Amino acid sequence: MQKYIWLVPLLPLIGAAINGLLGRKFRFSEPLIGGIAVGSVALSFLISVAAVYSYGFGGHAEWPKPYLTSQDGFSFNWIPGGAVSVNQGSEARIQIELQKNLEERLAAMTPEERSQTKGILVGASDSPRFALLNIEWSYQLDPLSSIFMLIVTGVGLCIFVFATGYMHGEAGFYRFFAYMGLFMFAMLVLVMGSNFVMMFVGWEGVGLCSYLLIGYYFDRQEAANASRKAFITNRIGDFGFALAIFGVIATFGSAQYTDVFNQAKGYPIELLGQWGILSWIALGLFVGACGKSAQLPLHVWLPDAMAGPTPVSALIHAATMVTAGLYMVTRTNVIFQHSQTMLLVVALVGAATAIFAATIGITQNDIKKVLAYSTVSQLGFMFMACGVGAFVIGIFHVMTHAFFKALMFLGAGSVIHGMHHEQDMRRMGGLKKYMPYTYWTFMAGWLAICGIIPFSGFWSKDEILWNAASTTHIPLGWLVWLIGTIAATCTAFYMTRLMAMTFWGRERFLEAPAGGEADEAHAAAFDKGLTQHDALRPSAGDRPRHEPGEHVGPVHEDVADHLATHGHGGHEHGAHRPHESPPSMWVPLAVLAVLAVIGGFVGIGPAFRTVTRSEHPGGRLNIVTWLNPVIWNPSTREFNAAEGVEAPVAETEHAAPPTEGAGHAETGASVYGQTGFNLAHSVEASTHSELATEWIFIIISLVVAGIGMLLGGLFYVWRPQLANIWAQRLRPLYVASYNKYWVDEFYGWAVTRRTMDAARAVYAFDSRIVDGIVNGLASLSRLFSRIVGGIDKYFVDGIVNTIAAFILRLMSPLFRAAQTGFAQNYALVMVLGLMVAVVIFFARDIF
Amino acid sequence: MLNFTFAFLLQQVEDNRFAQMRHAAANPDLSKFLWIGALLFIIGVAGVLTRRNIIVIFMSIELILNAANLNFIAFSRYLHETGNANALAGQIFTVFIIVVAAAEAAIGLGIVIALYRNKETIWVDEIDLLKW
Amino acid sequence: MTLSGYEALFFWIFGLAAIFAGLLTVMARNAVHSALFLISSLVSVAALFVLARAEFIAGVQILVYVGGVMVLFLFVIMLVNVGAEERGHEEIFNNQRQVTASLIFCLLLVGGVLYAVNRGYSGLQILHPNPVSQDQLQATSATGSSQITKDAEGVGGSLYRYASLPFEIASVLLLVAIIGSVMLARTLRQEASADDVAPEVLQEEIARDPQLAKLEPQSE
Repeated sequence: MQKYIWLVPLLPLIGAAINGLLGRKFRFSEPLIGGIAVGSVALSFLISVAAVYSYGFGGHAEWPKPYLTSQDGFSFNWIPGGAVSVNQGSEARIQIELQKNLEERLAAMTPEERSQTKGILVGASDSPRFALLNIEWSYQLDPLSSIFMLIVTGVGLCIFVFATGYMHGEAGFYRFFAYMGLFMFAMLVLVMGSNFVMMFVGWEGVGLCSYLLIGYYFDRQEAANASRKAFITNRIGDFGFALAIFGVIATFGSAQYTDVFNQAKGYPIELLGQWGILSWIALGLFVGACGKSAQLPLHVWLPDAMAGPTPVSALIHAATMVTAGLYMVTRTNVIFQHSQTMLLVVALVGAATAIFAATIGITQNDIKKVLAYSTVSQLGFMFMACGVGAFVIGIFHVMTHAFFKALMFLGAGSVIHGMHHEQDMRRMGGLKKYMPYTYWTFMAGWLAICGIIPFSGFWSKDEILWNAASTTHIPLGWLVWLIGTIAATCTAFYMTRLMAMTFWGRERFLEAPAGGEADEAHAAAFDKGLTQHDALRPSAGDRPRHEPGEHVGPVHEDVADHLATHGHGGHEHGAHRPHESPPSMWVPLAVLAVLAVIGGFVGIGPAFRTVTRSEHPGGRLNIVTWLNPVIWNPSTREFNAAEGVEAPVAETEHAAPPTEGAGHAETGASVYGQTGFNLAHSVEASTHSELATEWIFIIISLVVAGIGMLLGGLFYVWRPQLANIWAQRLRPLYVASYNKYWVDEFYGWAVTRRTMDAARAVYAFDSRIVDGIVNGLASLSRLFSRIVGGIDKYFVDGIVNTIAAFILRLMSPLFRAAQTGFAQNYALVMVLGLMVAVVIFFARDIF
Repeated sequence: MLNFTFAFLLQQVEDNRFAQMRHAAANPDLSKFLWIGALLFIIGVAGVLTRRNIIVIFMSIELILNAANLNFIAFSRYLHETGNANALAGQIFTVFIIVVAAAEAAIGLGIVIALYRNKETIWVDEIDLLKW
Repeated sequence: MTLSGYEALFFWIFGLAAIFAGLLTVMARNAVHSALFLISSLVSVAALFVLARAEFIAGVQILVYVGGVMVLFLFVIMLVNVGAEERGHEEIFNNQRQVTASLIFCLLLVGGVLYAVNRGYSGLQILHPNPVSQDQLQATSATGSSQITKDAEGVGGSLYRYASLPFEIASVLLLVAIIGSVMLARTLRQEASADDVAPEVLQEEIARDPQLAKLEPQSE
């Protein structure tokens, strides 16, 4: 079945092409379009499941060797490159070559020669290498790409089904699913590609689809601005990524993962302070990841991207596209682990992003914006994990986050749909009894994100924090742990706040006018054809179209007037009452909720080894075991990070080589040198038990989650007035958080306006100086031509006219005399001509 | 040319010359035909150039065409006797010249009549509209 | 093709007659006299054709040329009033300069052409010194005294075999000539009734002759 993985990206593309090209022309019905889209993704999912099963668990499993379709499946020679000069990283290569030569010489000597040898002179060539660069289009099935395939197609399938319900009634229904199918294709190419260039193609493709989908409501200024912002910010990251790919090709002479990583693993590690070619490459890659995965400072596009439809937010901005950065970092973990500086940068940026976004999420009122900032924060967590060397846990968190965040986005979409496109949480409340399915599934997501055992979020988040505390890859692990813990507290707080404001408490939508009455009037007038569509009208996020009586947008200014005209709470309007969503919408919620609950069990950590009798229970089903073959171990300098992970019986804690997840044992410390204060080791030094240390950290993270939840409950359920009081007391902090720390305004001032100034300056230069020169030359030419024209007209023509007139006056009477009008004169001249002809004919003889 | 003119005009000739001439006169051959044709042609040309009456000019043109016919027939006869396969070509030509002459005469006299109706004159020197 | 005996005699008679008649054509005062002299010239030339063994053409000449073209000339002379020159008040020749120049050129032309003929003929004599007369091989009539000519047969064979295209073209030419002559000889009245006059010209002519306006176009 592995041979057919090339169908996995192709089927959504075909579905997208059919929907996009034929959907409008032949007026496909909604069920048909939805059926094509969902069917193509479902088929992809089934093929992925079958392929991954046969790859990892079937009879002739290939795991852990990566399977490339260029072996016997699908591959074509995409860019036949030819010879490239491999001119980067030559010092490292020389080192490797010297080492290799030395070892060969040593192996060739007999033992007594070896003992007598004091030193060996070896040489390495300094000349630039040449490699044959050939970029092919083939897919790679290995532990990492298989996880992403399953996530993308599986979670994507749930979201597609949800979207068929959510986007019902849209005029652009076919366009939505065409773009979504295209997105699936691009994302799958990204994760399944076997070389960097294919990944870049997928990278750009998902960026494009993000632009298309965020700007789905293209007639609204807000959505158009947001889509442009997303694309441009992405492109800034893509620039770094492209430079990194150039660096990869120039250093390793190939773009295929297998070639590059086989070469890269031999390079020397660049410690903190050393900055070599691998650090440069890692920097470029990380810049790309920042752009795509919305890390500081390129995070600004993600909250604005909520202007797109909710399924788009769920799929692209929660589960798949934003995790592309993580995929890329984990895929190239060899390169990152060679550069300690970059690992530190990744960890710190991730931590900063986590706390930054978490503090902003506390004060937001739009339900989707809260979830957006939560996504940014959780992505920060994932990068924290990668930065401290726990790449497997980072991917584990990607997986669990995909489950619960997609669940919560879809739940939010269900709420928005049920509230008739009201997105402001201040106008929700008490929806628990109106939308039970949504409520219970959302609760599963809430518990997961807060990190409550045994939900999925707990397992991954706890492992991240443990690995941050105990890392030996980078210094300042304790700082990362601390920031992560605080961010986890904030996460619990604002998610509880969200639950409270949306589902619990009193039903605020009955008291205040829910939804913009001005917008409702506008909607009614627009449908009657009395007003034009207004793209600039602000509104509450994504709404496909408003129907008369539908409440959308900000609250009407004059509440009393509204109440007077509409009566108390507007019970006359049937549209007020929220309703549960149709099955096409809550069934995917249920599926995702189940996954959010049980999805974490693939990563039960080693802290539970007394219960599970294994470091990583589950054999190949355990995510650490599964992903280890793609993680590089700096101490053994080989892939398959931890030796002996599969041993199920590890009763004694220290007998087997001590491993924790993808973390590193004490032997790892010697690779990265002294990394300063290590929190876990100091705790362990006092408790003298590794197990106890791990449990202490687990307890801490549960406690902080509990504190966050309690605070949230306190502020928003039991003592609602406390929220406003504390907002007043901490007014500066509140304002800073509410305004998103003015990052957008700062960018606007520093980047956008300065760029426009530069553009204006260049324009002024061009229009005044360059055009001035050109116009000046043109004026000169015109002046010159006028002078010459004058000469010609008066001087030359004067001469010609005078002479011609003179000749004419002279000769005219002469020539006129020949025109007698008398035919016989003409005949006489003919006879004269005849005579002349005869004379000429006989001239030789006569004369 | 000069030789011939003198020989024809002056009485002073040699004996065999005169005999030659007598023989030539008594036995006219191709050249005599051609002479007659040439003379008729030139008389026609003179008529075209000198007469004022337009009808007479037309008749002179017919003389010219007739002279050409005579030339063709003479040569046709000559070629027949010298064994040329295309001996009758001259007579065919003559037929066509007669056809053309007839057509031309018809049209030309039609023009003359139209002209007479407009200008009421047959003197060509009164028809000088193209004079400057 | 040397003629001898009676043929030579007749040759000179008819030849000189043709020249003389042609001269008188050009010099006659009366146009009808000119026409009659031209007829006699044409008949003489026809006789010369017979002497040159082109009997068919001689017949054609007399039938078509004399019988058709000259009769046409006489009709036109009748239509076009030429009484004035009969009365002798009108000049028949052009002004003196024209006539003088013409005569000089014609005399020069005479000399030139005759010289050319002699030169050419001497060349021909070198080429074909002894042309053989083919007269003896002709069929005889029932009485045995005259020779039936094969000229018509030969001309017909050549004309319809090798000159069939020019033959057809000549017939088209004659058709065009017929149409043209009919069109040229129409009076204004006939043209107006056939609606063939340009409107501006018609207005002018109506101004001169109001009768024209009453004509109805006979074409639909």
